[in-house]
Amino acid sequence: MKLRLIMMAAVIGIAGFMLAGCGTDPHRIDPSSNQGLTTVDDINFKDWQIAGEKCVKTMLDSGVLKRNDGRKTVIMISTVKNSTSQHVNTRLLTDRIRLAVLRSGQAITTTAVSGKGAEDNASRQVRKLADDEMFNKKTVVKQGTAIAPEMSLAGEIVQQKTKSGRTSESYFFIHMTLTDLKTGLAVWEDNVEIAKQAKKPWLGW
Amino acid sequence: MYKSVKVIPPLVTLVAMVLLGSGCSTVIDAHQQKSSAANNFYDNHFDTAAKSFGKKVKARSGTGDELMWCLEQGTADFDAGYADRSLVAFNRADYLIKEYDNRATVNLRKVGAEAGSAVTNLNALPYSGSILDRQMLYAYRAFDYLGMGDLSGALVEIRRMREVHKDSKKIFEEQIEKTRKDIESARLENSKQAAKLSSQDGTDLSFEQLLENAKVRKAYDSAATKSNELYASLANPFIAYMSAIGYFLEGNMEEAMVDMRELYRMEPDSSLVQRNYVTAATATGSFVPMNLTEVPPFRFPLDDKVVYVIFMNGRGPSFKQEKFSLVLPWVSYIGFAFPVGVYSKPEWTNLVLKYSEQGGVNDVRTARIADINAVFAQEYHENLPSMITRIAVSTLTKALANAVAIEAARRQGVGYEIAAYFATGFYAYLFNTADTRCWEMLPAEVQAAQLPIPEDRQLTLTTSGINGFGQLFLRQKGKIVRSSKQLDIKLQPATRIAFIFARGVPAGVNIQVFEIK
Amino acid sequence: MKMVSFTAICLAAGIALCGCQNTVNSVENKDKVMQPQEVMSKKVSTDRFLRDRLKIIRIDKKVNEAGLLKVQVTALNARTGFFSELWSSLTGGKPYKVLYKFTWLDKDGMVIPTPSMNWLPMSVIPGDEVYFQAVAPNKNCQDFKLSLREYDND
Repeated sequence: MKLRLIMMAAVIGIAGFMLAGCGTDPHRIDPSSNQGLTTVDDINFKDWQIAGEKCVKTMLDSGVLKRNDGRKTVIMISTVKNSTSQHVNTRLLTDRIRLAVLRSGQAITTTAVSGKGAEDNASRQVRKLADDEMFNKKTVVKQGTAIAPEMSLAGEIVQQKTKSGRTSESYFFIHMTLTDLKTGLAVWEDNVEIAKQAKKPWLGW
Repeated sequence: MYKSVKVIPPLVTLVAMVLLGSGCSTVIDAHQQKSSAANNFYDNHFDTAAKSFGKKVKARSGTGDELMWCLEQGTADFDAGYADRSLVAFNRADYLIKEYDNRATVNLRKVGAEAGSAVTNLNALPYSGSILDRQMLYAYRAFDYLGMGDLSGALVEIRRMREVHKDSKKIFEEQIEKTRKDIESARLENSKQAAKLSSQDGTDLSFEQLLENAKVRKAYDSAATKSNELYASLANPFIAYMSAIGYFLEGNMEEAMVDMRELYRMEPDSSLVQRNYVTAATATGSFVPMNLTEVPPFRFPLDDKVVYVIFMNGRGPSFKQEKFSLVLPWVSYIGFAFPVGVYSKPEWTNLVLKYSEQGGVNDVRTARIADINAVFAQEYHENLPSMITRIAVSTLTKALANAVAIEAARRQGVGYEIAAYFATGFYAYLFNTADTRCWEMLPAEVQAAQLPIPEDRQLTLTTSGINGFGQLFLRQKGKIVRSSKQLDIKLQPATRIAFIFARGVPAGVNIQVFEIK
Repeated sequence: MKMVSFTAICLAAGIALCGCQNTVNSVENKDKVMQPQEVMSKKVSTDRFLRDRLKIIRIDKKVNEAGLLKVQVTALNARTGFFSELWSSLTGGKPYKVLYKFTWLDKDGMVIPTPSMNWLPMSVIPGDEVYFQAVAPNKNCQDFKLSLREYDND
């Protein structure tokens, strides 16, 4: 009888241990590491890092941002068109590029205008304060002082999905361009390709 | 006797587990379960219906019926004017479908559900959504994003919808192949059981034999009549139209032309389809069929300063339970329950939109672009042979088990035999339930119209049916803000693209206006 | 007799496994026109597996048109040959995947933070050369450090 009880307790213990082994406590991961999740249908954060790294490298290497008059090129962030079947926030890519551009010391980005209207409405709002009696007119930013962008960063993300048997595949193609707004010519272009594959298990829960 | 008694506790446990895991539809068919909420919906009480469906979603969470309730809740919430809430329900539906599709080929849940369906009925299998459900889910999700003013998000959903539409045939063939395998294994099991009986006559049934039954024949033939032979290969013209709208908005006329060719093949008589076909063909320099040479293309852009009208008209198709019995030599009679399509005629002829243009008044009428009844009937008709054979074979499995149990009880004495008859009869009656699960809040048909945003941004809407003009209800965030037989709508000055969504129910037509700046 | 059969089976299995391993065969021009500026390197290797597989061949640098330092580290996956390929097949290194990261330092040896200080993956087919390239994020970057490690999910 005693042996039976011990056996039962052991079985319950092992089962409990196995069940506990099915999950992990929430924990932080290092975003610079390779610990993030990889899914076939989505662009994961590591993919954005890889894409951003490649774009920044080729853009800085191209030398297009350098001006001979010593002034910094002003860049506006236009639209990165999402042509995928996933909801993606393209800021995850453009913000990485704009930060790299800023830190290079060769160019500067504007927030007064972007592909989706002003990123920061303050530039426009403060000029309206000239009509507000509360403010000293001399301290209000004057009209005609904002600097217009000279270049525009834009792009498109395309996705192609394929499925064969238990294997599914996603191919993302990211195309980025930097356009000289004076001439309308693309002075820099780059592509980033991301391909992912997964196989559905044959046996499972 | 001891052996039979020993089998009862695990059987009772299994049945109890099936009841817990599959939702209520194993005993009460789904159509009956949702009749009260569906009546609320078609009585124009979308909000009440959405709440009822929401309660069901919570109650059936984690069961095989959850997807069906999520689809119903999502539709009711959208039509009530809660695009954000609707998207939450549809997100869950999307997750459930993906989760079901990504399950391992051989998985424990499937084995459990199969075992459950063997002792009860097909409702014990999880509802994974019909082809129509999967197609319409992404269309409704696109509406939700438009309702939240997010055109880019809507275009993502339209792309997903295209993917499902493209894979429809493959998904359907996989489902049919799976059913075929299930039938084969059930037949093998039945032949083993039949060997224990004195007579093996009628221990197997083919679709041809089942078709001899008047009720089955009627269901099969009426589905064939309802389905539109032009909608071949499970194609859905509404999906093709939505896809074309997506391409129009992206300025991609070449791809829109591909959709238009497909749409024109399915709905050649629709005036809207014809005009869109000619517009896309003119823009891309493509061939225009001889009979369309007189049709003028749209004279306004389709990606800017444009109004798209989508009119979901009438009560959508559903299933009701039908029962029939067959007399078999080894058992007095056996009852079968199977789903039969129920189709309703849409109440409203069309929606008329009046607007001023160059001093005159123009009117645009919505035209049919998809007969959802026909899409539903087409899938049902193609599915019926394997579905009904599967029902018959699995019913036979249970009946054979009962017959073997009765024969064993007979050897024990008269009392045992009567008890066995009573118990097996009650059990067979309890679980003789058809799988009527489907998305019932869909419309009977979809109409559409396209017009330019008028100079004065003013539109006047009316609708008419057999009994004259119908009532129009302007909905915002769950509330009817205006109601009239002639509804005036003023678009905002910054509006670039406007979507007018109309939902026709017997009480009238509900209008929602989504403006994209 | 038994021993002979066993050896034959092992050999066949080895050949079969090597068949799964792809190596790279390359052809290039003999008379080079390039004039690279080679960097004298100091390498500290703490990973025995990585050291055995990936050999650093050379490090080149140049200052690009924008005045930014550009570096290129050339490495070779040297694990070719029967036993190496057999071992690679058994240990799953086909192709061999590594993670790399560039760190940039200013003239005082201070680390210059960049938005791209992340471990990035790279696949190396046995017998193939790979080039780890980076462009300095700004003109203050005078020195660099390349960190390499085997690909994992940690």
